[in-house]
Amino acid sequence: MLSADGGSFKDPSGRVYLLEPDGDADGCRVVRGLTAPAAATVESLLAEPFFSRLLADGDVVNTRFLSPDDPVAVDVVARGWASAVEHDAVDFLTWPYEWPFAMLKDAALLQLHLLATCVRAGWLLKDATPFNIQWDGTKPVFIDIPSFVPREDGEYWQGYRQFCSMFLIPLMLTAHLGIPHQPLLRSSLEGIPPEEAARYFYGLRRFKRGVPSHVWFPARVEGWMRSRGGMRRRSRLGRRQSKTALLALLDNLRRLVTGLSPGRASPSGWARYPETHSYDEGDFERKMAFVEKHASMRQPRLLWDLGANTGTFSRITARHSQIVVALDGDREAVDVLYREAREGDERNIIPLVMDLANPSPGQGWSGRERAPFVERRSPDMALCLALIHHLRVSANVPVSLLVEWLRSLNATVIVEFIGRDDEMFATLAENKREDYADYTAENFQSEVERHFMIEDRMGLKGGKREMLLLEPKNTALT
Amino acid sequence: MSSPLLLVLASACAWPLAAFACGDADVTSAAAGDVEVLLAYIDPGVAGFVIVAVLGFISSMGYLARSYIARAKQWLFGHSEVGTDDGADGEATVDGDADSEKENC
Repeated sequence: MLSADGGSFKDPSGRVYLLEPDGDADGCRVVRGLTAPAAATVESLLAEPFFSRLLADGDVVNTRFLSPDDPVAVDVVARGWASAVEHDAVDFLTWPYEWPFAMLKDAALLQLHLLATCVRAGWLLKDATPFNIQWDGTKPVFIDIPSFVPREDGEYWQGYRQFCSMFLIPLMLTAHLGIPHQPLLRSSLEGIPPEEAARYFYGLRRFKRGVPSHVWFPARVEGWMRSRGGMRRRSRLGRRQSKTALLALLDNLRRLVTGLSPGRASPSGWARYPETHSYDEGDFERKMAFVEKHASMRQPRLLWDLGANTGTFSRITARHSQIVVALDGDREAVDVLYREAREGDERNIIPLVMDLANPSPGQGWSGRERAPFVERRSPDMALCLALIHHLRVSANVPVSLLVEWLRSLNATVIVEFIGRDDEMFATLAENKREDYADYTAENFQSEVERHFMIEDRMGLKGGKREMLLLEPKNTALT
Repeated sequence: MSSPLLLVLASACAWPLAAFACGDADVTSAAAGDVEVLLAYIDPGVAGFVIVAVLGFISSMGYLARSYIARAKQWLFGHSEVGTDDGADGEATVDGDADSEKENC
């Protein structure tokens, strides 16, 4: 059964449909209905040598036309489209407000690389949004094939403003001012326009690298144009830009983006977790062995590592999983994880910045344009190591709700419970008025047993912590 | 041409426009509510061509300079030196440019 993707309605040249797998098949199929002109354009694109090179490099999603006799193509055509193409499905959809700095930067560099490559071949990308980029593990992949259009003679780059709003300005805010881009992009799906960004870059800040030319100058010109009532249509027809000038601008942007790095005045504690955790050597190795044993026995297709830090356990489980989505609220720790995984060519880990007390909601039109995190794809297994006490103390989520939420994942869960007598719990609760009376090993076990079967358990740190392997009971979810 | 020099040129180009823009902004802010409603229908992207044209022109000076320097290096030292020029070799060496950009992705 085809279902239209909630986020693909904006471009009238096509629409993406998802085909749910039959039975126990793995993942869904992604097909796209195209209008006749768009189909002709995609056909020409697929024959272009530059596009074949991009496909071979894995920079764009693999795409092929479906035969008109294919039942799926017939279904797509019946919905009013001229023809259908199929794309390789991505493992797990993510949105730019969930990416750490280095992921957004790599996505921006991919966008510029694709654009420069296709401009040289006489093509153009008609937009420049990070929502057109997804991840094959730590490799960015461009997924919106109808964005490629032939470049008319002298056509200028209309996606420049969008590139600045959605890639460059968020990156510069983090690099120059230490303002994280995730909350800004989450609240404004169209990005941060130059006029708004100019308010952050006041005083001497406006002279930071890239700001005068890509924030301050565009903001002033836009303000000036708006005050004059825009440009007259006649003048719009005469807009021409040489290929060299466009390539020069792209080269300038590439150099600028390459030089941006997140300012780190004081490294976060979580980014240095492997050196600063509170276990002795033996306990930490036993913990790793417990996780590895159960991951290797179950071989999950999708594993969520909740509170992954810099990914010690994501890496262990990635050896036995098809894909690991590593989540943590600490942006710096996730950035470290991404860069290390990228450098190690660990292609089945997707690191995401996510506050688990406030995961990504449904966004955009009708709340369905950008799917909420918990509704994208359910995991087969989840790690929840030394996380419950954070959610209980820092986010004030009662233990009963935490266990219910874990049950709602409908997955095998490995939990590490930190006892009240553990020094890390004491530190966390030190200056709090509440006594967190429901946070006891007995109550936690009682809540767990309502929803799960405890398949295995192991004590750590002299009984202050406990590892539990939980299988969900076949009861109706509360 | 180095990026700081480009920025200085961009700023120099932007200052007169900005001064002009500031003057007009006062007029806009003093306008009646009807005018503000009207302006809400104007796509701010209409300025895109002006911005891209100015920045493209300024960038191309450095771009072409690097391109000629790369060609000179190629002529003097042979092919291997050109690949180190960080993708600034212009249209003449398409593949080299693409490859060096790819390394940064």
